Amino acid sequence: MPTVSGAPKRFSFVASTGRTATTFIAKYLDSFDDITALHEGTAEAKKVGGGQLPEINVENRLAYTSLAKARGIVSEKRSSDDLRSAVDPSFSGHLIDVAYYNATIAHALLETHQDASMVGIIRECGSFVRSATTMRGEDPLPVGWPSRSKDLSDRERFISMGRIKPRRGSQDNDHWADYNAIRRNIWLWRETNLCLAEAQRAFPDRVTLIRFEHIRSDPQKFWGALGEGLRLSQALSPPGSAQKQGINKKPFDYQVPPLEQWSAQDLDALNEATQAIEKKVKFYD
Amino acid sequence: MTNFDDSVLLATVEDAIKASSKSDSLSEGLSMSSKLGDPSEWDSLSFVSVFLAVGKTYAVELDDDDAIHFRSIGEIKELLLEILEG
Repeated sequence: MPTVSGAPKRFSFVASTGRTATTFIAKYLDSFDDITALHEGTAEAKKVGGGQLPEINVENRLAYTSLAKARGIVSEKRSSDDLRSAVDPSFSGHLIDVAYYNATIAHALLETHQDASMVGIIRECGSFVRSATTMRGEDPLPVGWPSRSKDLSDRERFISMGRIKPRRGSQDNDHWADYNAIRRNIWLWRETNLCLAEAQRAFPDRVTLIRFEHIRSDPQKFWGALGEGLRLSQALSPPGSAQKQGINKKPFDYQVPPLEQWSAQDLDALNEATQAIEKKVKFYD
Repeated sequence: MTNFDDSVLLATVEDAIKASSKSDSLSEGLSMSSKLGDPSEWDSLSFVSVFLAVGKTYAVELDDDDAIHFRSIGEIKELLLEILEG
C-alpha cells in the first residue's frame, strides 16, 4: 500500500455468508481510532469524511462465476484508489471492509492487495439456513434465498439479483428450480464457504477462518482470532455489554422450521455440505 | 441494429426511476453515459423498476442474471442490441 498522505496504511476484510454478526463486528471495529471499518462498503458518516467504497451487489453474482470476473470486479470497484477514496484524507490507519460479498472476490482482493489479510467467519450450516430467510412477509435482512413461491418486494428482488446461484451447466443449476428454500440456502452456505476455503488454500498466511459459534461459546477466542487475522496493531478483546446493543436481530422468530422437521433429503444435503466444508477448511485453533 | 432509438431507452429508464422514486423530475438529466447512482434516484430501489420497464418496452424476456447489465445506460443498450439482433 503506498504511503501517500490520506492512504490507509493497511487494508483487511472480513467475509462470510452473512448472519454472522458482521454489522456489529464492523461497528465495534470502527469504534477504534486507528481503524475505519465499513459494513458492506459504507461507514458511519461521523467518522469518515463522506467516503465509501463503490457498491457491490449484482456484481457479487458475476464475481462468483469465475476468478477472471472477480478480478474484473476488484479492478473496477476495489482498486487502491477506491480504498484511498473510502477514508478521510487525514486518515492513515487501518481500513477494514466487513461484507458478505468479500467471499466471492476474496481471492482477487488478496491477489491485488498483497499486504491485505482476510478473516472468514463460518456459521454452522443448519443455524445459518434457519436464520437466512423468511417464508412470510418482507425480509428486513434478505441474506439467503427465499422460497420459490414467495412474492418479493423490489428491495428483496434487487438483493436477490446479486445473490450467488449455481453456475450454468452444474448439477445444482439443473435442479435449482426444484430446490426449496432450505436446499437453496444449504447450497448458498456451501458455495460461499468454499470461496473462503479457496482463498485460504491460495493464501494460507493471510487468511484466518473462525467459527461463528465461538462468538458466544468462547468470545475471548473469537475476538482474539478476529484481531489476529485482521493483523490489528493491538489484541482485540470482546466488546463490553454497552457496545453489544444494536445487534441485527430479526424482528420475528425463525420461520424456517427446526432441523427435526426437515426432510431426509434436506438433512442429507446439510450433512454433505457440512462435511465438504469441514474437510476443506482449516479453522483457527 | 441500425435503428435503435436511444431516446426510447432514456425515456423508459427515466420514467421508471421517476415512478419508483415518486418524483416528477430527476436531480440530473439522464444521458447515454448515465449509470446507477447517477442520478441519485437511480438506486437499489428503482433498479428493479428499470429492469422490468426495459423488459416491457422492448418485449424481451429478461433473466435476473441479466441484471449485471443494468448498471449503466450503455450496458443496457449493449444487452438489448445483443438480444434484439440475436
